[in-house]
Amino acid sequence: MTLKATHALYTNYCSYCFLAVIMVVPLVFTNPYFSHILILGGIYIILALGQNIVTGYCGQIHLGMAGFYAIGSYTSAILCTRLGVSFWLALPLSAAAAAIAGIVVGLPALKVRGGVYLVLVTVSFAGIIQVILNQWVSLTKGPMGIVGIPAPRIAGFEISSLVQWFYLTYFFVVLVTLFSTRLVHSRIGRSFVAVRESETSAQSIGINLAFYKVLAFLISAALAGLAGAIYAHYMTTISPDVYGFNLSVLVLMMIVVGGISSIPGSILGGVTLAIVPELLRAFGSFQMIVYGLGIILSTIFLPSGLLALGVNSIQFFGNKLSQKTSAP
Amino acid sequence: MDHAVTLVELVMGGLAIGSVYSLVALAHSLIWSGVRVVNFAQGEVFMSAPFIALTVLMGSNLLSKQSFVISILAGVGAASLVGLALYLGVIAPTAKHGFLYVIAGCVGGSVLIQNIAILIWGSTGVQFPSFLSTEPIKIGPFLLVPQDLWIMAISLVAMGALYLFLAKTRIGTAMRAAAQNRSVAGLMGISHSLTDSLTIMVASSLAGLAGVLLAPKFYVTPQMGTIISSKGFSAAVLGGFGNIPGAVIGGLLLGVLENLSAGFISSEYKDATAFILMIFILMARPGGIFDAGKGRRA
Repeated sequence: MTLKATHALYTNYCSYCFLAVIMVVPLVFTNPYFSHILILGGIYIILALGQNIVTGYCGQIHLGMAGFYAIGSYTSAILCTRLGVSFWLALPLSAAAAAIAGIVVGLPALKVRGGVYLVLVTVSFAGIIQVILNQWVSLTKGPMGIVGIPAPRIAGFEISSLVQWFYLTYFFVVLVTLFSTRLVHSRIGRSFVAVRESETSAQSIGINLAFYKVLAFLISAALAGLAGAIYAHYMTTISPDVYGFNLSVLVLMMIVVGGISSIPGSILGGVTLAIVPELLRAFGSFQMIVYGLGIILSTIFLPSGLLALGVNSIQFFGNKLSQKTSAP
Repeated sequence: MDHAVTLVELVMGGLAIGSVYSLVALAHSLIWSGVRVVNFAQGEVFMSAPFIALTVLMGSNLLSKQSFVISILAGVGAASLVGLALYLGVIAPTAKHGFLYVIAGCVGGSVLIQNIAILIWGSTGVQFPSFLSTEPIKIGPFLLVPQDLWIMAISLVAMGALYLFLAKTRIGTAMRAAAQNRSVAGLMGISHSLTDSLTIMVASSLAGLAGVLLAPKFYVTPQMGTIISSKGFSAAVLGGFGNIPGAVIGGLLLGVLENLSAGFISSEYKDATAFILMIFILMARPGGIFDAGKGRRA
């Protein structure tokens, strides 16, 4: 196999390879703690894929994913606990609710200039959502949160064990991965990239900037809403403090650490940022210090993310190999 | 009459907290206009000052006026060094890759600094001894808190000193030249590394001063910077990012808006009201109230 083919294989199929590797873990290690961390990792992957569409492909720096995630969680939780709606109906409804919020945020975000202004608008939106979660007690039960969110059922069979939850979550992760891959290689995805590279030239070739920016916001919001609904049902209890600014930042970090504008990069980033803090527990009270240093070093020295490590090593070993074979 | 009195008191309280926001906003805008980067870890620079001041104060073991002044100066100095270290260690190396990487690097930096602070001073927070009276005094029909008045006065003095430094000194002129046109300033023999470092240090000391001024009002905790930094950032954007007078006005406006909405609408929704007003102002004026002008736009 030539180097180019290996490289293409790596970049095209590594999303599925990563997912396949992760999905074997609960079969090999029966430790429930591993499964729990990887389920959270799966939810993070969906969030990161959503962020990747709006930031990585469409180039809009968006720091309010926690707001959409919260809308997804609370929509599903309220529908299921108050109205007795089933999980399978609540799930698309919460994605839709978040998508509508995405349009509401996307429209003013178009008006303001990019860069710091957009950061401020999206941060403010997530801040407003968190205040509402805390204060609108009759709807959200305020800081106490909503408890007793029912587990989903498949044909009368309740999803209860961690392993079952694991495969349910990764079923959605695979769906979202397939969707994102199809999306970024479609006309819409190419238009996103055109908007990111140059708004002026995108406009000159007939790309409707407003439409595609709002669309990117909408899709990422819907994915965050989906992730939020899964999270609510998995945890069975939700409270406002989860949906803070730190979560929005964490999601942005995932795509930077994994590799921006790349679907396997988002997958890698989501799982990595779920696992790494747990691994760093070995450092005791220095845990977060090492974590902070790691983030600084990875942004300085790995601007294309952890994914680039794989690409570079394929090139490195590929070059070695081709030198060996070409030598007499 | 009663409403008018409440209104004036709320506006005064808003101006006090707003002047602290202004100092942080000034730090953001100075850095943007001079160095073309954003320090997203400004909150940690802000937080480092009261901690150092507190340590110096405890070390001197005297609660006299002189030891307060010395400890505040030490805190402000430490903040400027923390800011410089952040710039050299995190912001400058990530700025080459792009804006997104600066955000990411600064997040790492703030996690790092916050946790170093937790390691040294613990995570629960310390009470900063109040060096200014918190007993309200009556001026005319209004009840005002001397502490608030002092915060405003000290902030104003600091802003005046900044103005004099930028307008009257040789190095201040160099900094303004670099802010106006970076490449031409370089051609005129102004050292970028000097003006960049100096701008960062001046800006960080303003953020540190804001931290020390606000410390007696709240507990000093490693997380105290996060919220103020985002408020200062909002104020800077509101005033037109990179615009120096805009930052001052943006900060005061945000403080007053917040206090008025807490007083007249609902204190629970104080933050939300401020956020919503900000979004509306930005929709009406996409470049902030005082657009910083073409070359300086964020």
